[in-house]
Amino acid sequence: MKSNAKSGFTLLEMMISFVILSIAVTSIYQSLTTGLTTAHTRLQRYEATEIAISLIAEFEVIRSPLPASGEMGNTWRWEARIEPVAPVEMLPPTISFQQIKVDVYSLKSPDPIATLSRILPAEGS
Amino acid sequence: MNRKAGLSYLELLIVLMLLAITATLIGGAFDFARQAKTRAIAFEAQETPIILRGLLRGWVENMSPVASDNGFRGSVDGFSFSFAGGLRAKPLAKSIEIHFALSETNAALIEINGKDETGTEVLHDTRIFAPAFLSPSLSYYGKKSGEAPRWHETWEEPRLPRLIRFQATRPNGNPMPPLVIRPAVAYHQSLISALFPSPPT
Repeated sequence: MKSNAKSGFTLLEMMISFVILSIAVTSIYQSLTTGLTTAHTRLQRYEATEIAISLIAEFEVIRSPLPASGEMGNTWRWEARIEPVAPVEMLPPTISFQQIKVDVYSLKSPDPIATLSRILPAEGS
Repeated sequence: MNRKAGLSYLELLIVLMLLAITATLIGGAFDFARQAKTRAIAFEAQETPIILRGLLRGWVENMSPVASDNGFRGSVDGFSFSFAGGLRAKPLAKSIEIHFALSETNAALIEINGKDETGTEVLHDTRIFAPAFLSPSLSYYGKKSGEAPRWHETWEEPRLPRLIRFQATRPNGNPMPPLVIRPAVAYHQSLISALFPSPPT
């Protein structure tokens, strides 16, 4: 009788072990999910930056009128505009600069995923 | 003695509850695995174009604009250019040949050959990208003689086009964002920074 009571786990022990197990499993799930999401975010950012670089290259060469905006696939929306740049003190006032600024948004998010700008000589300077 | 023989009603209830919790956890694990598989497939489809785009941008931006034979030849499904020197060539290769080709099976090939003054091959890199996109095409922006600058499907001029554009569709049917590259732009920028060795303070 005494030896029979000692063999195996009691119900209380089983319950405690289940609680510990479920805490452990939940934290493992969470870290795995975070890993997946991070990898996804990294790819998204890379692609958004690539889109911005390509757009700036195109605007720099073709000089189509700005501001402009558009969509790419079913995933991306972009906005491009020209902004003035504060004059450089060391240069003569006839030389001025402007910057092309491109924001790339995912269609789902209101905040830009990538923002890139490039400074160029202003037209006529 | 009899009391020890089986589980009480309460114990049975608790056991069932524990079983239910375990089953939920296992079900969650299966669901997670399915999700991970879907994402892994999506990543693979995205990752190959990313590597290809990086490589293409790197080489095309670092070209030297000085052609070493009859110039740049580009068509819808590929381009080749042989140039003298170039940034990545230093100090060994005196002439570098770049071939980029898209096959009918939607695979892509990029081949780089570098030779020194004696004609010995000092640089060789061939990469083949398995199909990760559909109907890829190339176009070239520039000014041909007597025309306003516009996008062309072919480019056979001694000088480089001003832009090269690579377009394709993803396997799921969505268009891939076009890749637009300025040939030799890093080369020109390095000339500018060589003229002004120290930035204004």
